[in-house]
Amino acid sequence: MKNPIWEYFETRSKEKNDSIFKILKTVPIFSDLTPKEITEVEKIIHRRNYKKNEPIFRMGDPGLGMYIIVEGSVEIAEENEDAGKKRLAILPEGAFFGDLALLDEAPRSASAIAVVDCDIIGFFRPDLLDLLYRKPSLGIKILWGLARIIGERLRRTNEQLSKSQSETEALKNG
Amino acid sequence: MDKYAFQLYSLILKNFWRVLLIFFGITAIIIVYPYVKSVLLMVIISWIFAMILMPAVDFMESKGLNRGIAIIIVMIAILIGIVTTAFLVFPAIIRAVDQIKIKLESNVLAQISIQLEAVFKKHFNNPELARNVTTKLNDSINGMLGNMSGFLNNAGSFAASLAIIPFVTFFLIKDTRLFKRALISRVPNKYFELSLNVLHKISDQLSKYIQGQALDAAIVGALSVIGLFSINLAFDHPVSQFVFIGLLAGIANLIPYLGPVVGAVPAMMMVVINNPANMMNILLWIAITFALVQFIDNMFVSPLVVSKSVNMHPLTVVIVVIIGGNVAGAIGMLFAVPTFGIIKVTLTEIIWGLKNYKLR
Repeated sequence: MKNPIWEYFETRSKEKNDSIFKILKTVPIFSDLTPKEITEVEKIIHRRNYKKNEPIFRMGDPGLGMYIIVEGSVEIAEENEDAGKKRLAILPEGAFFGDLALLDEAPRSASAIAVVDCDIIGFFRPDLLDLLYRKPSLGIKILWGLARIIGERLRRTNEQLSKSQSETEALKNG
Repeated sequence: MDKYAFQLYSLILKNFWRVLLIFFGITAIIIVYPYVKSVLLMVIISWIFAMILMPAVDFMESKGLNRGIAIIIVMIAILIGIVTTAFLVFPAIIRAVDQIKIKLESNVLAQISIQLEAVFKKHFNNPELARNVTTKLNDSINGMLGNMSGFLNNAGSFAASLAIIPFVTFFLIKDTRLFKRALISRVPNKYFELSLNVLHKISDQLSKYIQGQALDAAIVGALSVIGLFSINLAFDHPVSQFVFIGLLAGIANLIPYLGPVVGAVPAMMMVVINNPANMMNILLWIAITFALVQFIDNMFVSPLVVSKSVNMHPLTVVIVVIIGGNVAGAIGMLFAVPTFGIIKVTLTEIIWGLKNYKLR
């Protein structure tokens, strides 16, 4: 017969891992990965808990990697010493942010602050680079997912730019 | 006045617990240190081995091999290498010691005892005193032998450590990411990104530095062996312990500027003890060989394999080596520059982190 205390912790840990698995599977960067590959990613991610109003990273900090919200919501804001804080977005559960920092160490363009108590997964560049070296096929799949997201974002930016240009032209012409 | 006093009190109160914690921390380290010293040394040695072997294991893993199996394969290969080298080196060391002993006994010691007897005969005419002196000499030799057996007992515990080191190394290579993750999970959110980034940078720089040093030492050792082997072939084996001396030259290469001398001197000593007919000629060739090895190392090997992150001014190197020598003798001199390198990299990265992250 199994010890009920042990069973309780086992179930809790399984539930916790299942939720990470589900969350990771919904993130476009990891959507192409097989369950076995997701398990490999699980080994290198960092799970963190943030209190309400606690900063996750600050604008200007060196970029290190991306975060995925498991529970709670996060405010993305520009912080200037003179102008104060300017809210850019509120990200809900399941959303991810800071993904460009997976590519280089450029300073963060905005701050991320927990709106409520948050449960967050961090996936960082040094671990991705290490994974690329140790398991190249998995690393390439993740990079491919990242490239797809950036491509999609670029396409959307181009569309917005072209729309803005047309509107400016229309305004000029009267 | 009161305002300043109040500020000072609040500052003292604010920092009181921090200072108390640091004080207790330092006291705990001082109390615990003697008990964990040997374990700490073993872990450091295992960690250095792990850093050196990691690229080979990562490479095998990238080819689809299970990490555990890759580590076992690499460690068996290294073990075979060490055993083979030991088989080549130990007989050479024993031969070298025997040779020195025979030379000393036949020439120097015999001369000393003859001179001693003559002195006693001439000045004291006292065989009793001569016997006393001989007894004292015997006693001190026995004492030395006793010390030697003590050393051998230590060598027993050293051998036990040698058996533990591969075990620790195995897990350090296998679970290094797990250890790092466990370590970083304890860091408060405010310092999380800073610590993670700095830890990665330090570990990256250090592994490159240690791997570079190890590769450089191996190449210098191999080149010295090849050079001395050629001299042996050309001059009828005046430096028969070339493998041992080559190995020594490789290890001594950890000390910049002084290393080549440490390599060349034992080779020259071997020749002087052997006292061949064309001694000066051979000595010259040994000097040329080591100069050539250094030239190849400085021009081609070092710039390629040794990490640039730990560039040191020659004056710094000399001072560090002297301090290392004062602290821990020859071993201290050997490890002074790498230890300083590790400290330098660690401090540089921590300062970089503190400068670049907003810790509000």
